[in-house]
Parts: sequence; C-alpha cells; structure tokens
Amino acid sequence: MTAAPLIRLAGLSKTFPVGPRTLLRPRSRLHALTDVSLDVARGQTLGIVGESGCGKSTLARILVGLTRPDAGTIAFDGHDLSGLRHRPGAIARSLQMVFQDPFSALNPRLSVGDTIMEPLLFHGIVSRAEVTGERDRLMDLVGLAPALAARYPHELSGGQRQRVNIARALSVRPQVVIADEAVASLDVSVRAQILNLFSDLRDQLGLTLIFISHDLSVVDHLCDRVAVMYLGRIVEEGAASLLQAGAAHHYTRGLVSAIPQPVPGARHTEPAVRGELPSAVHPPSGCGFRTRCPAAQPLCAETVPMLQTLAMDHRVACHFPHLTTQRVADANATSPT
Amino acid sequence: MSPAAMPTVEIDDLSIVYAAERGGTVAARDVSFAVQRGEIFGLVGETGSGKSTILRAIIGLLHRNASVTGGTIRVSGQDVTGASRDKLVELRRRHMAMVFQDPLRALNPVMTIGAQLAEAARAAGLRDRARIRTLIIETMARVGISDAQMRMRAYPHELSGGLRQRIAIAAAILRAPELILADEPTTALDVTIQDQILMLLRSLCRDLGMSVVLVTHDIGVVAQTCDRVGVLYAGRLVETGDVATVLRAPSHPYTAALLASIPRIGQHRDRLRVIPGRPADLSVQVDGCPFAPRCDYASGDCTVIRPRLETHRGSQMTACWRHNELQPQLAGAST
Repeated sequence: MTAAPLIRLAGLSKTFPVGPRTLLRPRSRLHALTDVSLDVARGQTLGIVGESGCGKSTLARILVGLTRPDAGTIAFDGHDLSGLRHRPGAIARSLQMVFQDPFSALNPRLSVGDTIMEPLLFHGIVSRAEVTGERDRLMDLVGLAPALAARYPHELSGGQRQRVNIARALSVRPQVVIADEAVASLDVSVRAQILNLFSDLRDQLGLTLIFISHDLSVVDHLCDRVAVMYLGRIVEEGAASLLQAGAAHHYTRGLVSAIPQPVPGARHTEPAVRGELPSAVHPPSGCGFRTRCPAAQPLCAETVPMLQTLAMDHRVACHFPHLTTQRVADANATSPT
Repeated sequence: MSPAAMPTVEIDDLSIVYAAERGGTVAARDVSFAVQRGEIFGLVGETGSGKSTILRAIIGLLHRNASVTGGTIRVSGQDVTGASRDKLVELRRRHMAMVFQDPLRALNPVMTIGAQLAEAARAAGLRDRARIRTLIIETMARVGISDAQMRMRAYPHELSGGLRQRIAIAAAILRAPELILADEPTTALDVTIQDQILMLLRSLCRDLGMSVVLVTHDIGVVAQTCDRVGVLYAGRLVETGDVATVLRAPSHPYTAALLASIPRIGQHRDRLRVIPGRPADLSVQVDGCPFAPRCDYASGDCTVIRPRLETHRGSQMTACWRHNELQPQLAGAST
C-alpha cells in the first residue's frame, strides 16, 4: 500500500477487572482485546464483525477515546493518540460515533434541533447567526423534515431517532464515523433506509466508515473490508467479498453459514458452529476458537496462531486454514515439493 | 373429526383491540389460520404488526387493556377465547407452553434450574420426586444439555444466554404439550447460538410431534425453521403459505417489499429497496387495504375496499386485489 493508513492500530490490548475484590488475591481479569493490529485507509468502509463478547465494542470505544487501552498504540493521520488522556479538539471531532440504541443516545429534554445545534455551538463549527441554517442543512442531509426540529426524541420513530444521531455525529464534520450496531435495533424496512443513508453519506462526504455489526449480511452489503473478531482477537481480515466464499478461518465460515438466509431450500441439518463461547476471563490456551473448531489439532491448544498473510490483502489467524481449491493450486505452484 | 386430523391451533376471524381513552388500537383484525400437528408456523411482521399480541391471545395472556372483540381461537379442539380462568389454567397445563424472547426474565433468578423445572413438573400433576428428577434429566438431555446433574444446581445468572434459552425450552416441553408458542426465542442470542436453538426446535417438532407458532421479525429465521408462514401487516394477515413458495413467489406486495429490503450475502446492490412512507397508524380505521398508502401497485379500489385473505395458488393465500396480475412482477421484485 502506498498511502499511509488514516488509522493504524498496533498491538492493542485491554483487560477489565471482574469478580469480587479480595485482600489477598488480585481480581480476575477479563480479556476484552488481545494484540489487535489493524489499518484503516482513508475513505474505506471497514466492517468489524463478531458475536457478543468478542471485543468489537471495546475496540470502538478505544477508537473514539472513551476507553484507554492497556497496551498498544493508536495512530490517527500520523498522530499517536495512545498516551493522551484528552484528545485535542480537532482529533476528537474527527472521530465520531453512532450508538446502537438511538433513544438512550439522545437527551430526552433536548429537541431535535437543539441536539444538533449543541455540538455546532460548543465546537464553534459555525457562528451563532449561521447555526439554524447549518441545522437545517444537516437535517436535510440525513433525510429529516425541517418541521421535526421542534420535536423531542420520544415523539420520533426509531428510524428518525437514528437519523438525529447521525446528524449530530456529522455536525462536527468528522473524517471517520464509527457505527456500533447502529442498525441492530431497527425494523427490517427502516434498517434498509438507514443502510442506504450510510452509503449515500459515505459517497457524498468521503467519510471513512467503521461499521461494527454482528450481522454479516449487512457488512457484506455495505463494507469493502471486513475484520472478524473472536474472543478479543482478530481472526481474519480481508476484502468483504471473502464472506461470500473465500473465508479461510473456520470461525468465519461457521458464522457465515449460521446466518439464517431468507432463501428457500438453504437449510442445514447440523449446527454451523457447535458449543458455546468460552470464558473471556479464562480463555482457552492456544487458539481461542479451538474448543468449537471442526479442524482443531493438538497444535491449536499449544500455540496461539498469529495473523498471517494468506494472499494479497487477506490475513488469517489459523494453523490449519480452510483453503479453496484455487488457493491450494496456487500454493502448490509456488512451493515445489 | 379424528384427533389426528384436527389442527393443533385453529384461529378464525380473530380481532383484538387495545383499549385507549379515545377509540382504541386494533392490534389484530380478522386473522385466520390453522397450525397442523408437528408443524412449525411462522408469524412474521415488523414492530406493531400484532404478531406478539396474537401469540399472547392463543395462550390467554393478553394485557389487561386488550380484549378479543371477535372471532375464535381453538387449541387442540378446545375454545380459548371463551374459556373460564380455571379452564385456561388447565389448557396451559396440558396443551401449550410459551418460550419468551428473554430467557433471563422468563426464569426465576432466586431458584436453581432444577427447582424451577421441578416446579413445572409438579404443576403438571407429577408428585413422585424420583420420577420428576428422571424426567428433568431426560428433558435437559433432549434440549442438548449434557451435564444435567451439575446444571440443575445452577442459578439462571450463572448460565450463558443460549443455555438459559435451552432451559426455558426444557421447561416448556417438560409436560409434552401439543403446542409451543415461541415469541422471538432467538432474537437475544448470537447467530451461532441462534442456529443451534432453531435446529433444536425443529428436531423437537419432528421427534415429539409438537406444533410450534414462532413469532419473529426475521424472515431468515422463518426460512430456516418454519414449514408455513403468515405475514402480518398492521394487524392483518396479508399472506400465508408454504415457506418455500412464499419466499420464491410472494403474492402480496408487502411480502415482496420486505424480502427486497433485506441485504443478502453475495448479492450486491448499490441500494436496498425501501418501503416508502410510515407504518400504519393502528388507531385510525381504514376502509381499504392497510398497505395501500405505501404500496407501489395500489390502484383505485385498494384504498376503498379491504381485500380478504383468499386463495392465490395451491395453499398460498393472499389479501391483495391485484395478486393475479402482479404475480410476475412481485416474484422479480423480491430478490
């Protein structure tokens, strides 16, 4: 890659203390993120997928500075942010977040207009004279009728509330928008509207979008890159199209086939992934997925597989990745036995 | 009618109204469907479509301000709508059980799993402690919990969401009811766990001959689990039929629009199809088709006269005036 990435995460780790406080023994620690490294290029749409407890929301909070990592570095546009307790305003404004629950993310006592104008005035984005004009422009941008400016959050539908959250995030003219499960609580037809809005805004404003979701179909639709997380680690990363057939990690493959597709005759008779998520307080030795993996070998319990480049732009953390026939042929051609 | 041929659930022209200060909200109107023995019937719809209200009416658990204003519900041939309180308790004890969306709230936090399952067994009339224990261990094994002895001593908060839902299902099937009512049973679970639970529901139906009414907002869940499906819009059943038929060749414009608004892996479209307008206001009585204001194909009659559910093709039924002429367009528009 020629251009430097807009965001570069290197070796991020984060643990949280859990369990009772005792005098003699230190508290147990939950491993939310372990050694996460990731680059995000300007203008890219990255999907981060994984199930509950995989660390995707912790990663989002670290990105916007709501949580500080225990180890590792986070660089934005060449600036190292990892040691900062408070980010400079310009950088804080550059990274904005849209949360999952559009209702609890809004102040119930602020009207839609005030919600959008507050950051405009606080950060001095526009002058007082221009603020209502800017409010109207933002509302128009996200598809809210100007008449809604006087309404309060409880008077809006779920889709409208999420549009307000998006308008507020965009008000400070960010370069990166991080959406944490931003469509998960919406009805199907409304979700389609908000997904379309995200792709329109990305194209119009040249936003870099980090879209965190448990829904692989949504990520496949919207994103050009995807990172799959399991138990605090990135297990696979590459072009979003790998979700269609090219996934090499057995977890990604299981996740893809576990999605209930609205297609007749696509039923399977065996569960796509067996068993339950292991504890993040006492993660398994070696590969975190080995307890549920159909291809696990003794080696998987001994050594943690590192993210390795499998092909151009495709990294996987697995000792025994699933290889498509094409890839096996390529590998044989390059390594004579 | 012989018991084998009798549907487990028969609903005819069911209407349910939530009382309000002025007027009221019609949550279900003239809903009719039947669920056969061993069949999984999916009720799919968006927020406010009336799917959960209908499910609660079947088991006689409507909210205090809701009432059945018309029609009948029969479970295993017995009337639910006109049943006395005692009769309802008896029906729930012998014939049906419910599985809720949030298993943590459905389970008692201060009772062990074993004690809760034993309570369910005693409610069904079992008295012998040794037999209850055997039944619990057998049932836990059936829902895929291997170390039953150990899990019986656990409290709900000590278990994962998937295990809790398995326990809730175990409690429901303990008395071998003919009917399980499942309200979004996998919405709170991760996809890999959802996959396991849906497969469990299917195997229980197949092995025990139970019927299931599964309420969900996710057509994918219907596709993976159900034999037949009913699509609800604004409290009305707009389409019913075999799952494969409805997904492949929807006969109602709402079903087609809903299918088209779902992103699918490997199918790239720049934009998702969007259903214009807003969901119907249930407190306003409309004469015509409730979907007409948002329908791409609505014509003069649609806003004036309400279409009834009628046969479209084979066992597929639809409530649309224009279903015959629209068929080719809808099949194309839904993917």
